[in-house]
Amino acid sequence: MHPTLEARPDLELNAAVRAFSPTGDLTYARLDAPSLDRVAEAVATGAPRAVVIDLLGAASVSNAALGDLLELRRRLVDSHVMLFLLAENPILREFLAGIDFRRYFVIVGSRDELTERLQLATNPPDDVTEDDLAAARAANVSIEDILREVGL
Amino acid sequence: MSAPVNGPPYRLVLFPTEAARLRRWRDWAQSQGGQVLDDFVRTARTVTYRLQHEPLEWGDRNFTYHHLGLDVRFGTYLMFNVRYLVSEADRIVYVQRFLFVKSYPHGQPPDDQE
Repeated sequence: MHPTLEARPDLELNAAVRAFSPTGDLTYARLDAPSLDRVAEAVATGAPRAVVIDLLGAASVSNAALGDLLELRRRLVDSHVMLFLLAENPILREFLAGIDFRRYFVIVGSRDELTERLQLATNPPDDVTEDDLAAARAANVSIEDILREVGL
Repeated sequence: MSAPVNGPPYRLVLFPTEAARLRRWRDWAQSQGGQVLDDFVRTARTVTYRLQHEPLEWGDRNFTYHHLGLDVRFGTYLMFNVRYLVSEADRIVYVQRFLFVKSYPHGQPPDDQE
């Protein structure tokens, strides 16, 4: 069973953290610097495939909070857990992309997009064989060919 | 095997099932016209560029086929989610699966409602 992280009302970063396991269990926390240990512990204990940091409609994130996010990522990097940032505000998304946060987090802009990406991230891909790869190389069809076939 | 001189850094290869899927989506986009067709062409060209030039920067890594030396990555642009495989040794990117973005606001192709 996953530990449940308690919501904390006294946070500088008003973010929720959810850790999704392959079986759909989740943990929940408010994120601030003191809670990082608990999030890291939850990931180590529950072995989730993804952690979601929900910025809850925030329009900006303080430098201290950005530091907390990077610290969380640093602690989890060896766990191979996927880290999602849910930022519904487009200006905030642009800001996060602009400071290169896409290197560390999968940034999504809506709950629908998050759900879709989580499903894909937690489902292992189909098996692939060398024959599949050889067949693909032999077919030799490009995306440009597919556009060109109809004059696009 | 290596990328051609003066060509893109990675050769882009589609699994045959995905070439067929893209043709069905193309035909659907043509039938819709307007914004949908414009978005389809823009998505196809942007995805092509990203996969040929910056596959390691664009998609998020989420799996590895160790026995084949392939990273599985996942990228999204406008209409397409793309699951692709990167062979660094051969400089080839394989598109394993196109998935239509469910949150695309102007409709869904009829064969991709899963």
